[in-house]
Amino acid sequence: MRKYSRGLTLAGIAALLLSACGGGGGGGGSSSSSSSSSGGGSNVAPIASAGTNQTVTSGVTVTLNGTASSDPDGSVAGYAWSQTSGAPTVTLTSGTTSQPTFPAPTVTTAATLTFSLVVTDNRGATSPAASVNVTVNPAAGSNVNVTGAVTFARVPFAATGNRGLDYANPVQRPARGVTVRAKDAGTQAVLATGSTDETGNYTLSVASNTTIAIEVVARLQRTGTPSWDVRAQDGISGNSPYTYALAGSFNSSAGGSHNVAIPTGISAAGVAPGARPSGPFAALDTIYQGMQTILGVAPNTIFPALIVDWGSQADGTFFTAGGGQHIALLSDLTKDTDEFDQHVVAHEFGHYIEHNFSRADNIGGAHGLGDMLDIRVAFGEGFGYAFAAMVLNDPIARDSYFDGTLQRSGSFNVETNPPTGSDDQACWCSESSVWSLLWDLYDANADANDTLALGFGPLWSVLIGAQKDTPAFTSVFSFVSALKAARPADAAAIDTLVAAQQITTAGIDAFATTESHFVPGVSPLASLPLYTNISVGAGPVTIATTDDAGHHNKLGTHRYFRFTPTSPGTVNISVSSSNPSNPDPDFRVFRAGTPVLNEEDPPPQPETGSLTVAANTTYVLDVYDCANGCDTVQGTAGDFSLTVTIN
Amino acid sequence: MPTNKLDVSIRTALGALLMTALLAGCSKHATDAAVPPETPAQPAPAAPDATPPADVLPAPEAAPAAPVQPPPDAPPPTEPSAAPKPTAAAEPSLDSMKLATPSAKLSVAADLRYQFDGAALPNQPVILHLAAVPRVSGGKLSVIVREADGVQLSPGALSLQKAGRADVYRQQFSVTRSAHAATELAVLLTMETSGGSAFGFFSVPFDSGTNAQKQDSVKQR
Repeated sequence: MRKYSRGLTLAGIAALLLSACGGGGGGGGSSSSSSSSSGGGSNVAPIASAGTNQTVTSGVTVTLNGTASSDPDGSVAGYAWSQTSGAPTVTLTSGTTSQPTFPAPTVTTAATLTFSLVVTDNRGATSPAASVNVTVNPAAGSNVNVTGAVTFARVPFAATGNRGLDYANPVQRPARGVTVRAKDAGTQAVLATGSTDETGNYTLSVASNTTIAIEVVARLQRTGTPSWDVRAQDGISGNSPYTYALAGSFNSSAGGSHNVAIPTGISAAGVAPGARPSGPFAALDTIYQGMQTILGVAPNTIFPALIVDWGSQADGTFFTAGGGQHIALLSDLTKDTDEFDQHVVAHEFGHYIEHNFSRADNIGGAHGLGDMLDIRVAFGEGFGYAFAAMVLNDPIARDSYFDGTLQRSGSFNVETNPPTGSDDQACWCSESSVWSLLWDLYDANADANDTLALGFGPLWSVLIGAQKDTPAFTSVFSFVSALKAARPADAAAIDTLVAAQQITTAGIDAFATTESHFVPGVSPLASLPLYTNISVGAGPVTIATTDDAGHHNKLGTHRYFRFTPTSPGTVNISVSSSNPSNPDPDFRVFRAGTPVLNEEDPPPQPETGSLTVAANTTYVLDVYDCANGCDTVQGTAGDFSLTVTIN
Repeated sequence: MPTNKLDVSIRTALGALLMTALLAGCSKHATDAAVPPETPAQPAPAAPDATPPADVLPAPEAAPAAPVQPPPDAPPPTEPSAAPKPTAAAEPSLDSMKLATPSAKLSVAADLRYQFDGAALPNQPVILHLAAVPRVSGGKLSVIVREADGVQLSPGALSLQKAGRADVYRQQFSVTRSAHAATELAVLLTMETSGGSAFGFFSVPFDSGTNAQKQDSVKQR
């Protein structure tokens, strides 16, 4: 028997070093993937073989095969299997045999499991690890989840100045809440439909091992509470929303993410040779964000169906509730296209919100920045842009266009109060005053006169409450008086903001009975009082109308009366005009915003009509001469008198 | 491709005629009691900031005229008619001019009025009179008639540093349309006010019809 000396000999140290470096030589111990000697002589490490990769179906028994493992100078004496990656983790029948088995787990999408095998030879040496992959597909006939993310390309505004949209630098944004379909790639039959979530991700449950295609639909749809249904479509091409198809098809069991990136289709120079796929999705995403603003204060809101007409619109960008509710968006890339103008889209959605959940007495029509407007128009348009700023948390409203040479944009800041002493000054008749006031009530920025930061909730409460029920027309007067009544503790701060808009605060009410700020350049007699009292049977009352601020929806073109019958019955209303050429007086009667009588006939005058009234109910009469107040120009506008009699 | 290929002599002659007409370029709104009514037959003094077409007499503050270029995908314009260009006509009275329709969203606080000197028949040049009338004072007022398929326009754009409320800013264009031309022109107005900057596209139909009959419309806002 060999005796070991107390100390290592030089030869012994050399042998140990060689062993440590993987070379041959004497000395004890072993390490993986190394040869070893035992009782004299070298031992070459065995070689592990984990078999070939396999693809199986859920439920079948999988056999791993290590029998091809070998040992060049001996025999394989042991096996050690382990799962090194993949989910779910499985349990092998025995991890130390050459052919362990396991049941393929149930999966909804293809899963790859990786196993490692290390073998030991008859002299104790171990092999390097070998690995094998087992791909488990869902069982035939079962469903699998197909997942992915949908993004759309948004064109941002140029960073500086009013340089319009920057088509050279689109950014991908999550397409939130849009509809995603899985279709049979062959038959085009829709196999599954779902919606993307807040981050644009989707999951569709589809039969396994089916060749499918993915299609994204420009439609926001949710059932239950809350609910909505908003689709974007070509305005003149039927009721089918726009769609965008992911190129190609794939096996539903293939696993992985099937992401859809919807492009602009627009060159850096702003030219689109073909379709512009991301346009409708950009518009919808702004509306989605608008709905989130409402849901933040009214989580159970049921949004009525809304159609966004985009792609063929040449008539303008507007909201209309006639013939279903529509937001029309301009789409002319060579002049004016609005799908990326988020404030414009959110503004129109604000009209939809006001129409459906509050009350919009706004008579519509063209209006320009700085115009002195009919109070109904001023409030509706001002609310629209204030709402847009709240939705987007951005007070700077921009609207892009192409001037024939360059991309441009118009812009204004809703935070900025209109000036005093100029043509476009602050006024109860200014949409600029309305958006500035509403924004100051909402925002947390304590700028001049602004100590309030109410957020959207209190404004919403007024919109769906007193503003909706006011016997007067919806205006800054009805809104402010209701807000002050609802928040007496904030009344002084509200007054400060209101006064900054050149609106009389003392005794403010829905009928503007105390308003005393006249508008320079507009006939005072055609401006205030906004509402003239008239009594049934008390004789004629004459007021002035003017086109000083413009026609149709501008200040002074439409004049208001109010009357409150003391007894029920039928009243006869007559309106005549002093218009010297082709006088054409018209009128409408409203009860709490609901039209109860429309008399808008062609000449001759007087315009007359009868109405059954209730006692002690306030009615509002809107009178105008068509030359001043019609939406299309008819006759020569000017300064006229309107005489009203109610018997 | 430029659409106006008049030679120098014709351009000079037309320029002189247009200049004469443009002397009536800026006058007050006829209904504004503070100023004399318009007298279409007599040229009114030009306002200091009224700018004639850029190819006629550029004012110092005039912005460069927008080049008249077709959109990249537009078909080539129809060749000019052999018919002579129309001579500049006296400016029509403001009240006789039709109101162009702006797009239905926040726009420029200005009216745009227009009138053709005659029917805009195919391949027959006709003078288009435009008048921009701001409803509020502002600055950087510009009026640009945009290219349209099958329509040839004399080049030029109105550009002013200041624009007064109810002042009238006029511009003339020679317009020739082909048989298959667009049915209307788009006119771009831009203006800045103390509240911000705004623009509006106004429709000027070749066949403007009549506004005599009362029209119902769906409320748009």
